[in-house]
Amino acid sequence: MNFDEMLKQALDETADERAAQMLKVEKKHRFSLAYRLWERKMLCDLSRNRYDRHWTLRKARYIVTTIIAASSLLLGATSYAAVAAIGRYSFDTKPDYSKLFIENHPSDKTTIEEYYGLPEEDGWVLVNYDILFNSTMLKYECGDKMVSFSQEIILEGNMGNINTEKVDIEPLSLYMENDGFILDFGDDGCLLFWTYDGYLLHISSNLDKNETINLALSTKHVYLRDKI
Amino acid sequence: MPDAEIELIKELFGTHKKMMFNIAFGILHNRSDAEDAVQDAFLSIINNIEKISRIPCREKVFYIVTIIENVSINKANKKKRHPTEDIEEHFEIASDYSVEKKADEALLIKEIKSALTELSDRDYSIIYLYAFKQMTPKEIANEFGIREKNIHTYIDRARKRLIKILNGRGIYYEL
Repeated sequence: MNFDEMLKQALDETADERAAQMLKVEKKHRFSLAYRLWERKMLCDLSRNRYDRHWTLRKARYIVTTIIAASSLLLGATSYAAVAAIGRYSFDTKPDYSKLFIENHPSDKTTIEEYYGLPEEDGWVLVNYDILFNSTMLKYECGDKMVSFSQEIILEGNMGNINTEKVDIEPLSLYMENDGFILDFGDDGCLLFWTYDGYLLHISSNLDKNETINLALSTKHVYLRDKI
Repeated sequence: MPDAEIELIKELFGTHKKMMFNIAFGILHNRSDAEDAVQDAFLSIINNIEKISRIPCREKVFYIVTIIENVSINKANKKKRHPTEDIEEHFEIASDYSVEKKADEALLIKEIKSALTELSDRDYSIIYLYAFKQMTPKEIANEFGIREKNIHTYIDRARKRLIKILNGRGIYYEL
């Protein structure tokens, strides 16, 4: 056997282990909001057999920067920031009362394995939906009640923006201690976030606080594969 | 685009992007530039998804490492405005080796396997494509849309590093 043949054999015998090692990433990176926006739209477009070559990361950065700049200008912001922690969430208060909330315990799920939603036997009708491999958005109606139910895999870092100008964040313990929080807008409804089974779930509704909490507690597995 | 290819793209996005970012950041040392490189690499993957879907599972990561390395190096070169080196004059591919140290083949293979673990991911990937997949530099260049003379450079350097590691263990080869 010459050297080339021995090298070939050695490569064959080491390839699997090396490939596994390459994918085992020690240094974790929080991808920026712009990158995640770019990726989400790219994958959504591909799922619908649309491929927009003009949708670039640069464009996504521009959009994110524009929105932040516009928000600051509109509210006449001064530079001020504070970070507070409630349970498993951190909140980074911005001058315009919006808060970036951050899940402090990222899960290892990289795709949605089981779907959650509201119980149809309670009268909830799914009227609209948007389903991706890493997030879902389901819109339900029951008479004059309207609920938007979302499920996401938990990424490291920034999970979203909420406006807290006229409302306080109230921690909740739905299934575990401090696994969620709710914003009660009174007549304008509620916004509730909680983590369950390695996912971030959230409900936006025109219901009162107790009804919204009961909805979260009635969440169950749903079958959505025929809608993908 | 077939559903299977779309699913493969989603899977690659999910499982490889952190590795790709770390490789790009190691070359570019800038988070925004590294994310740009990841974007460009994924666009290249999407454009070549038909070819990539035919590659065996365990080999996909080597292809992806090669793609992200190339994209990152191109970005780094553009930033530095560094002229690319013309290595045609310097490159030699040798197909014969003479083994000075007599050793049992199994032991030699073991030494080579051990030496391979010391190669960087990039060097390993390029050696894998060249020595195991038996792809010519031209084929690798066409596969990835990389300039052929760059591939010659990558292969030459990777092999020299492997030989150097083996020399350090008392196993000598001539190129």
